[in-house]
Amino acid sequence: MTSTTQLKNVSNGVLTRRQFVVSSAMASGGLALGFHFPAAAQSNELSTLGGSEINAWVVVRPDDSCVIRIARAEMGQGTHTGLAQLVAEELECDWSKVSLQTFTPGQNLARKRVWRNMSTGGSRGIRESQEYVRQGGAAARIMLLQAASAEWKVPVGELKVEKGIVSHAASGKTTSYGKLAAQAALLPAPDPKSFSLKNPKDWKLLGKSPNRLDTAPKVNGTIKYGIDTALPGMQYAAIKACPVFGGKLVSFDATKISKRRGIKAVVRVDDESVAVVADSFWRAKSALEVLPIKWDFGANAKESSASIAKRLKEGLTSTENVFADIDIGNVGEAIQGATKKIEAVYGTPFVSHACMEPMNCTARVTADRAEVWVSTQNAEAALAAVAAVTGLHIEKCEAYNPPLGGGFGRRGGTQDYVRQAALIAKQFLGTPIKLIWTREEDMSHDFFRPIGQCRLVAGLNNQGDLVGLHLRVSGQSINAFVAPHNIVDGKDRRQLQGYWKDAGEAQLGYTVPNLRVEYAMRNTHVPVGPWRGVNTNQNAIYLECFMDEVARAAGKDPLAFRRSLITNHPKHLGVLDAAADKSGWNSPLPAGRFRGIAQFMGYGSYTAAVAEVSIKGNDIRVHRLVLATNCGHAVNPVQIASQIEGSVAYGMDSLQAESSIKDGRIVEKNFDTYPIARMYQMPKIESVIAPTYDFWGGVGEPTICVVAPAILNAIAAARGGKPVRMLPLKNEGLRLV
Amino acid sequence: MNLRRRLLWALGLGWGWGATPALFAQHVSQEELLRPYVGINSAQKGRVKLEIARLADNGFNVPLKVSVQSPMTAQDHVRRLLLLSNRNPRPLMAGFEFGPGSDQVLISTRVRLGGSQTVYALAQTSDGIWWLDTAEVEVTESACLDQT
Amino acid sequence: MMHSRLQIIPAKRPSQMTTVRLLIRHPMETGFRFEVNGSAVTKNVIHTLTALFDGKPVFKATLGSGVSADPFLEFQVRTPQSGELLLQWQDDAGETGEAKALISLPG
Repeated sequence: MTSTTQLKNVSNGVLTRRQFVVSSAMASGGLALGFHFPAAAQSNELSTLGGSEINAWVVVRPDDSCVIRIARAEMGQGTHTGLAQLVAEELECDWSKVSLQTFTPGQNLARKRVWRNMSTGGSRGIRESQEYVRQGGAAARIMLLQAASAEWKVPVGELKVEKGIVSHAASGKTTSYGKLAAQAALLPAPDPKSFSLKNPKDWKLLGKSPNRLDTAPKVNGTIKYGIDTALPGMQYAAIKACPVFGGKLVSFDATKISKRRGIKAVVRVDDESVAVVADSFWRAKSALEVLPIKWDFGANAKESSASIAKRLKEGLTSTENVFADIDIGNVGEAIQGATKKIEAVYGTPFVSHACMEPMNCTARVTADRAEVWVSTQNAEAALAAVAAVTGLHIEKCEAYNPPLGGGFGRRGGTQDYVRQAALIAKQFLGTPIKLIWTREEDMSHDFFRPIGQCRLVAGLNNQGDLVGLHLRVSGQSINAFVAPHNIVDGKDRRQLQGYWKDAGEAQLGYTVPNLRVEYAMRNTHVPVGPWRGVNTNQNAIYLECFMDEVARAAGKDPLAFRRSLITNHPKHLGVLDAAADKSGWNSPLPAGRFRGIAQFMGYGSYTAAVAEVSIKGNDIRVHRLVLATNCGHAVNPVQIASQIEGSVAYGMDSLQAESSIKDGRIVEKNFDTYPIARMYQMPKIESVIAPTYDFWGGVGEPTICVVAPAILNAIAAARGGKPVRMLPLKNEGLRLV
Repeated sequence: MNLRRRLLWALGLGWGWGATPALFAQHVSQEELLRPYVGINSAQKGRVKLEIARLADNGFNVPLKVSVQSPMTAQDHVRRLLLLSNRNPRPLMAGFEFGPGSDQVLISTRVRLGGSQTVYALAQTSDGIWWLDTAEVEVTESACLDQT
Repeated sequence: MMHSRLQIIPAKRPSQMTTVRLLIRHPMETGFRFEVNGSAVTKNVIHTLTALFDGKPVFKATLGSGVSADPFLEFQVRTPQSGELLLQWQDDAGETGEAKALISLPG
């Protein structure tokens, strides 16, 4: 059981036999575990799988097994298991008899969105749903107890339930959920205002780490991702969109490839893309490679990384199109009068999502029905996209959402591959068309993490205290690209994520007497979008790497320097100390090893990291990474540790990779030129989960932003204080080994 | 959920105890949305029918149809019809006025919706009474943004 | 010169209504978009559209940035006799457009 101060330490590395046996035992029985994905359904009825639907969230079957309905998408982050735990905790069923069922957006709509939001992103899955799904579990429990109460004619208050067995002490009677289900399903749902949820100190399942319900299928290969969709009569499509963003497709010469074996057609998909349809993906892709295509690249063809850098640089000192989100004291005077001034410009490139499962979608369109099978973070968005593109009424459309081979924000707000597949399928009514993007297409047609630079100026007094800090980000705005109307008064605060004054979501953890934080919007023609962690990534690099520079200039230890500024932010301090303690910050390191530290807040959670590196020539080896996070409540600690470990890999991608621009187009199109973290590069990761139980913070994204700055700070220490300011590492001739 | 958090939730504000002001567009209450038009009066449901899809793709091009039951005579007609959004940066999306040559009020158009919201069709009949219909629309492509 | 497409579905009898369908090519620039240098793109939307039948006003629309690009409008007009339907509109930049059609009723 967890207490308010207990820290959970979970190490990665090879699972010892003991750990394996222990965690298997938690899952136990395990025979009924599984998933129920909707097959192509003719009706909008969600199957009750042979049981009784107590309420929208819970089905109980005669054998006492419980089916829990899950609304969000599983993209490896473990939300399915976590959400099931939330329901099961209140339901008081036998966890070993739980299986999960997902449903389609059409079924959600048909029931007036009883399962609410299906969109998965922003580290929201648990924290946004927890209350109403727990209420769903509690309501179902209450109805089952009421059924027992009615059957035995005893007050509900005299009943006890544990693991789905209901008992009445006075009479000695017992029964089980399976026997009560049919009656319970007929009862009216209790008003959520009439009951309360369990006190976290009474949790039996939440805070434990039951095995994920999808691990076995992933390991034994039986799992089916979107890209594994196979339908009778299916044809394959390979697509190419204009390599220069904003350019147009002029023409193509189908005659050059139409005689090749298996080629069915060459189609114009929209203003900017052409696709080849064939009886195998290989044939479609190979033909597309040699298809003569004429593009009108347009004005953006003259853009390059250099032209973009020039624009960003201008923004760093411009008086135009810039706003201050924080302006405390008088930063100009403070820095002017400072004993020591430190100034730096940092830069972070575009990076690509690089999901292991490239973008794909299978679509089947007829005159009166359109369906897609697609890995998506938002099945309702896929459904809406299909309806929009085919012009069919939404009730005639459906989207099936298998588990994703990576989402990271690429598959949420952008359903471009769904539109494309539906547009192609419209030209082949009745035939399922499986559209797959090649890696090259995927990597060069991403919605990239926005590029940016940051100018930071700090002033220190005689005692080496920070008296003034001026920070200005000059970079591309995601909102300006996807939803400019969401920018209030021309001030895009979202790009300053992690620097906000207000508590709760992504608050700046430092108190500086004179502080100005500014954002200058400088856009590009490159499409941008949310990349796991979104703006906390580059913002943590800018600030936390600079803090080390300032600490060094002050002659102070980086941890001590931060601690002196963080006293008003106890939760930020808490994780900083937790990471420092676990890493043994104050104890000496073996020769040749150096440490770096970073802390930041995002998605409602607090995170800090300490990295240990060594350097040999230009080769950096990251030996160890300690990450501490406070996400409020820890539903499944092992899963949180897994998310932390995954975020380390993703964070290390962004240290060494970039998506650069030449002639208006993306240069890096595959993993040979876009290096991502490899197994041999991975450090030993130690996760410290330090929940304080007084809020619900996110888990999917918060920890990623401290990975890069902690490693970069360690690298700077290893180089005698020489920082890395312009990412990726290769700009300084460095590489991870 | 206590009242304050419920209110914050309804306003689409953040996840913690602290409110994050003006980070993103917030939903306006019905009273505040209609006040500039109906003043101290209220609008009643009826006569107006607003048809719009429950799910909208990206919010840039959302078709809608609105009709108002009225004989459209000189004595009994619809003076004006307004389309309002409780979330767009400019709440008034379109307004329509009808002359004596107008027949049945049946209008189709396409609107921009800046995120999931409630769309209002507000009509005033010649007797000065305001009539209302509303529809909730989920704009799905905005959904992966950090905010809802 | 604003391009548009006007479609009239005339009433079959004088007592029935005529459906007017108009599609105008216009960006309906919201004023919320940004240029690369961070400046806002100037707002320019069609703000007013009027319809006259036989010289008498029958319908007026006030539009804003909440209306989609390439604005589409379908509405009903009473046409007791044949006559000319004239639609006129103007945008924030002062550009005007118009479309007209002769509505003839059978008989």
